[in-house]
Amino acid sequence: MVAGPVKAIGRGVSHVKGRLAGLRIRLIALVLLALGPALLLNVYTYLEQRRLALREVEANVRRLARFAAASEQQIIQSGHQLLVTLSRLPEVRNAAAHADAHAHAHACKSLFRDLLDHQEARGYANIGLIRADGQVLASAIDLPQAPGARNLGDRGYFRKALESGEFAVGEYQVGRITGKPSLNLAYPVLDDAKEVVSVVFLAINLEWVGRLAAEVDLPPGSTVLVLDRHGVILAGQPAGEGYVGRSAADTVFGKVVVERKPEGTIAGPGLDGVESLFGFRVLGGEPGAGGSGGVYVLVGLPRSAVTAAANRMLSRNLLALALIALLAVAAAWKGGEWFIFRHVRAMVAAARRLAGGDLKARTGVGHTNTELGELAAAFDDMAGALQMDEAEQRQLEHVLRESEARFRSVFQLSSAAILLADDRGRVISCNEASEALFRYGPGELDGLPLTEIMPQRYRDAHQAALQRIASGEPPRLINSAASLELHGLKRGGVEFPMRLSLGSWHSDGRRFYSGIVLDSTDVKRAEEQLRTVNATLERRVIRRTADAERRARELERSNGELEQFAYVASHDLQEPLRMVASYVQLLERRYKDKLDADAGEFIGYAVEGAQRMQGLINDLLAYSRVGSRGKAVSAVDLEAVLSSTLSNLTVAIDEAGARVTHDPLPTVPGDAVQLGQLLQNLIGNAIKFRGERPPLVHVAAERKGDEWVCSVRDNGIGIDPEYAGRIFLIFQRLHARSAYPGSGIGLAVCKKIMERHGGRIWVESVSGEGATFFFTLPAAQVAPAEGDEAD
Amino acid sequence: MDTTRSATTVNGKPGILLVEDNPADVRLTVEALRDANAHSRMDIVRDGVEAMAFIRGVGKYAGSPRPDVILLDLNLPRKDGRAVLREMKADPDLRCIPVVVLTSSEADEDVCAAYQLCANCYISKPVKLEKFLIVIQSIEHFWLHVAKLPQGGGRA
Repeated sequence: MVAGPVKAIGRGVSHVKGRLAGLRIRLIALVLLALGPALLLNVYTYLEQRRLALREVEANVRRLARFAAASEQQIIQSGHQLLVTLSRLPEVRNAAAHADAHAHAHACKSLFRDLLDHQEARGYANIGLIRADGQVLASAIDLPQAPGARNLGDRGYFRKALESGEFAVGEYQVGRITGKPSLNLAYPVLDDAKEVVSVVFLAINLEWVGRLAAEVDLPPGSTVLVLDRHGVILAGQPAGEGYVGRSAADTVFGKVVVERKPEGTIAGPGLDGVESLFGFRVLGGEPGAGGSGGVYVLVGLPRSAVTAAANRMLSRNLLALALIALLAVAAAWKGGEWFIFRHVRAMVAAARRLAGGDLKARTGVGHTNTELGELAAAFDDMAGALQMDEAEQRQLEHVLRESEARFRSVFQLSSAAILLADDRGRVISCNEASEALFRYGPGELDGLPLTEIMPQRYRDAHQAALQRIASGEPPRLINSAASLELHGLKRGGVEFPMRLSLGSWHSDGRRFYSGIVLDSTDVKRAEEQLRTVNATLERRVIRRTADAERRARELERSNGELEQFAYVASHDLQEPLRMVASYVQLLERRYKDKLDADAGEFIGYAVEGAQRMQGLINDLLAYSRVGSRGKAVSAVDLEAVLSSTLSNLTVAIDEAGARVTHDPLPTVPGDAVQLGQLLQNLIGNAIKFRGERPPLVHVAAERKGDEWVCSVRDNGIGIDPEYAGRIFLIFQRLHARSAYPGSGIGLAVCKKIMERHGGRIWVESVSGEGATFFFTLPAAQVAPAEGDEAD
Repeated sequence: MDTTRSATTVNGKPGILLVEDNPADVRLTVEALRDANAHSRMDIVRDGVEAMAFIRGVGKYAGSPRPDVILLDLNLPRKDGRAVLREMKADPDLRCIPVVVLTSSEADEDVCAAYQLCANCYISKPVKLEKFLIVIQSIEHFWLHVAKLPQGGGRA
């Protein structure tokens, strides 16, 4: 029950500890650190100020001391003056000169007394006269009862004045008469004989010290002290306090006296205990000169006054600094919060959310050009990338799952046996078809070495191949388009023929193999049968081909013979013809006179016969050549053939006044020469068999299915449909030779040409209204031959 | 080469060599030239072997003048016209004698072959007499009176 809160506290503490080390604290520390120099500067300035102040004070006190000394000198001077005057006064002279001193002494005393009363302000403690033997003749102040007071012969000043006969300054000492510390001045009084008979003295009290303080307007708390050379305080300001006469030898002042420096400064506690800075100066002339030296005036200013200003300034500055620091800290706190921690917290929160799985978490911090902005941008980008990656990953997973499903379905349902093996040749996966094929139960093939399902004779080669591939040799039979014809081994030892396609892939640095096995038992059997049948067929084909070849050769031979025959025949037939015709004509010429008209007619017939014979022979020759002398089939542009035909027929066309027109004609496969012959015959006929009107011939071509139906139409005499078939027979004529010349072979040649081209030819006509000859040519696509064979 | 054989003209007349085996055709040709009153001689040989001997002026034809132009039939016994043509045109000494192939054949292949063998021209004998006479006369006129033949038998 207690544990809970304790734990919470512990957590809180560590939390705070954590926070202490946090950014905020560091920021504030930085800010404060920045203010450090300001602080140092302040301190330094303060110290400097103090130093300067002290120096000033030192200078001041020194000046004051000097001033004091100068004042003292002045007083001494004026005292001197006074003494000189006094020494001339008759009362004084008289007082010493006469032994009867009393009256004169009294006069002196009154005189002195009056003077003193008036001189109070000047600080004379006493004015008196001392006889040469040291007896005090007169004194403004009543002599004290002590016997020693009546004789001041041992006093230094007295002695000095007496002996030197000049003005003398004594030491600071406590006057016997006055009982106060004073400085005595003495001046000798001379008688007429210029002998020193007495000394007039002046005791200056040290009240001028006090006056000094007032004149100079020392700051409050200042002290002025006069010390004799023993360190006894002779006078002091502020007065009172009862320290006059006290020895200050054991204080810091004692040091002054001891050291006997003419002037300087010394710091230490004053008589009132206040730390002060004292400037001191020796008074009364040179120390050690006649013993009157060694008296010091000290002017002290309290340290606190000195440093007061500096301290004030310091505290003011420190206060200001503290205020600034506070403001800075506050600004840092707030600013940090606004500019940094806010964003940091946001980013931390976003990071936590992201870690928790929310990939849509974003910092919400603006992507400015600052460090935090950049950090936020980077974070957001990273989150975005993670999100995308995750989406991608999900997609990939999806694709992978789908691919896996696809593979599974193909794999499992395939009727071909598929096996996957690792690089050691062990089956890692197989489908049902393979289990069925090799006669293993479900799962029994997994882990089996492949050698188990192959005949003994393959096993060594298989292992060797696996080794080779494992050692880095690239596999040769794998993934090739061809499959291997092998034998497989079913469980139970039954071999069967199979076809194997091999594949392979890498994964994680390891190699895997896939194999598709097709049982080719049936195929093999069918192949065997096919082979037998093929063999039989081949034999038959060979026999038939031999026959066909033989026949073709015979045909060729007979064709050749025929051609030769035709050639020779035409030659040999031509000559006797010519002879007959020529000589008959020669006869006519030579014996014209001796022949009658009949003879001429007879000769005409004979010659005509011979000519016709020649024509027939040529036509027959041409006819025979249509089939045998044809060129190889090539692409024939009918338009080109037509135009060359027309130029051949120019004479006939001009003579007949004929006009030949045509439609666009196609390019067809065929023999250009023979097609030219065809067109020439048809168009020649169209012109020849004209009627009264000038012949109009039109050549057209129309595509019907996979052939062209071409036509040559004329407006001539036409053909009686009864004879439409006969005209294509050889030597058939429908008209008298006298009316229309020609042997009657033209159309037969056309028909033979058409047969050679795989087409047909026919005529449509009405007697007296012209005829249209149609012929068909295949429209097969024939690429133009690269070069026609030479004829 | 017999360099002593002079230029063609004997008695100022140019000479034609007719190589023809058909006597009927020979007679016709002779008649044709006679009709035309041609100023030329004609020598006749009956086959290709004789023809080469005559042209070369060897054997029994030694001393015979070189013909200016030769009318050559293609179908001859022993050596036929094509062989004669080939032989003549292969011989640098003989190839400059113009050869007119005069034959009854109109066949394209004969025409082509003759020109391939560098016959100077190819004439196919017309059937009609009139035409025949004109052709023969034209040949004689053209080759012996129109065309310029090489001097000195064309020897280089």
